[in-house]
Amino acid sequence: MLEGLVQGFLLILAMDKLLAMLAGTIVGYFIGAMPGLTPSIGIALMVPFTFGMDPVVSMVMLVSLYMSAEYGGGITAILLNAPGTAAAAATAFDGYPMAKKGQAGKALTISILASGFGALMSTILLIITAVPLANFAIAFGPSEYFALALFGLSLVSSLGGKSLLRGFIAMIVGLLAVTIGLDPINGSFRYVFHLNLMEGIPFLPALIGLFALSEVFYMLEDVKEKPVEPEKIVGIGVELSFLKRHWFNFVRSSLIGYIIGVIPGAGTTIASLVSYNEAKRGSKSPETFGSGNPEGIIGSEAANKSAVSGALAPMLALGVPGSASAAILIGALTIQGIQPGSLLFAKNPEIPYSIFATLLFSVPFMVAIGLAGLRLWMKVTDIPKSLLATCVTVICVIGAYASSNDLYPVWVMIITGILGYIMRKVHIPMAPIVLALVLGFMMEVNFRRAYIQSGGDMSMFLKHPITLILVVLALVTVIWPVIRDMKTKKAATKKAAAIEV
Amino acid sequence: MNMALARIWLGGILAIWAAVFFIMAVYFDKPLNPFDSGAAAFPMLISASLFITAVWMMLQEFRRLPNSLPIKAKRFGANIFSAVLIILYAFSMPYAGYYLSTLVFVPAFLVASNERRWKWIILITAILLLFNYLSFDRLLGVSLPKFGSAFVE
Repeated sequence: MLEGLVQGFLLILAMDKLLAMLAGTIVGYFIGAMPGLTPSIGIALMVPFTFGMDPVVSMVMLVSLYMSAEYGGGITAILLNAPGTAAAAATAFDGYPMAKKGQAGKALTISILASGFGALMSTILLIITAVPLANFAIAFGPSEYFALALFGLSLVSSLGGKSLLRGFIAMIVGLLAVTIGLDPINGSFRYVFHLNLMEGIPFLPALIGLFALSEVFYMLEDVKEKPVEPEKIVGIGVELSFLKRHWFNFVRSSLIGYIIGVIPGAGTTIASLVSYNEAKRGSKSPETFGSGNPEGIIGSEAANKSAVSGALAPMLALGVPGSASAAILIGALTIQGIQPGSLLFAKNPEIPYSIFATLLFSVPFMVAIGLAGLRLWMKVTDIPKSLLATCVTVICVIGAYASSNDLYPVWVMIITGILGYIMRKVHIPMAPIVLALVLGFMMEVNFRRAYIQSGGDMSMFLKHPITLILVVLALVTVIWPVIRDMKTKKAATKKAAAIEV
Repeated sequence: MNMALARIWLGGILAIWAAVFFIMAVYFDKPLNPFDSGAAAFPMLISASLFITAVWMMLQEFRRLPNSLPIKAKRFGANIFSAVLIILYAFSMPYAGYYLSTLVFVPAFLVASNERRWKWIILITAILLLFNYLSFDRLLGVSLPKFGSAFVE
């Protein structure tokens, strides 16, 4: 393996590959930062350019693009509350409040360092564990996916904000929205009032509306206020002591991201939400999450970059895509006449090893470009709100349109934007809606598949060990905060009674 | 409007939405497979849950009503006007095309956002049009709505 890796490094250390890596990284930053354009759209757009290329060069470019696009999504999430990618939604929870406090530079630095760490650690994990973990992931059947979705939804108890009830309402609103469209099993119509609704509510435009457009209305409320003076960046933006203090969060988030990334279909968004929740649970000040705690950014960014490498494990080892982007990468390889899967390491070892080397090598590229551009991106916070609100609106509209070359997503974005503004005004949290939009479909489809497969036997959820563990975890995640709140209230009542006496 | 009253209104709207979706789900196609829970099961479960939680929130907020604080909403009228402008922008695109709609929308939105410096208004409009043309139209090859495309359809 070491020999193959050395070969991979030697292969990519040529001028054409390095240029391809640079081009992929820069295009990835741009694609990721544009709300509406996902990494998979970016890869799909670049694939036609790779037709005449050497397979290694094309993979170097596409893989670098994939990784940096996930980072680019975090930049606009922090600066504008407009996540460029779905996975960056969790970055916005704390990144944007930090930017509002004038700490945009610190938030961006933490984001790039967490991204770099997550990408590096997950690549090392990928090299060591690609084959065994891919085999583990392939064991995931419908009941396991259902349990995974259930566990993801149970995070509402900690992502739901101050009121558990309002968090649940937000989640249920998202789940009900997911039921609109064709029934995923038998194809019958559900709430299809218009033909466009057959495809359901598109996730990304809804996300752009909920976060970015609703933020535009908030910006418009404060157009007369001067922008907050950003704190000056000293050195790279954060102290070494900060990084040392949070090393465990970096490692844990990267691990969570990688493991979730390996599971086909789970994706970077689930990874970042789960990891964000774990960062909150493991924090000494969980109450500050959502109002600008840098630990939240580490949790989200390290995990979503780590999930990128994770998604490549089943692709390289089994030929099974771990994500939409990995599926397009498989397509790009097939066009080159290379079949990913179990024989890839034997027949075309230069491909997996050059991908490993690219992932390792593109991290310094990504971090260097990220840190070099820090002061430039921070200028966004100096722009008057009236101009910024207009630019964000236009970019949101064109981004939503570009997501499927249609005006329907634009309408979805506008409606969810107005709804998001109203919900934020009455303190109904956004995070549970994101959870529901990501996981609702996965939960329903896999529950029904599992139920059909088992011949109507509900006990199958208890017979599969992975399913059982995830269901128990989900129950504990929901019930524990309720018990903790009750205990806290009881203690407070006792204390008040004691003071009265 | 105060916070509790707004939540009562919202709860009421959500409860009605849930009730309508629940009733509609009753008439969804029955499953072909006897072991399939069917197209209606999940929507019925979710809409019933939404109805219960929405009513629960309303009851909670009724108790809070006397002590509830007003919602902070500055420039509310201007915000509604901006929302209307965005809707008109999306509506006009298939008729006027992307570029003409944007050419009208950006200055109008900037004025609604309290921007009065006409040089800035011209500059921002030009930059946005150029940026979108170069990045989306040329580089990414997005087929933006053309003038009169709604009539062609």
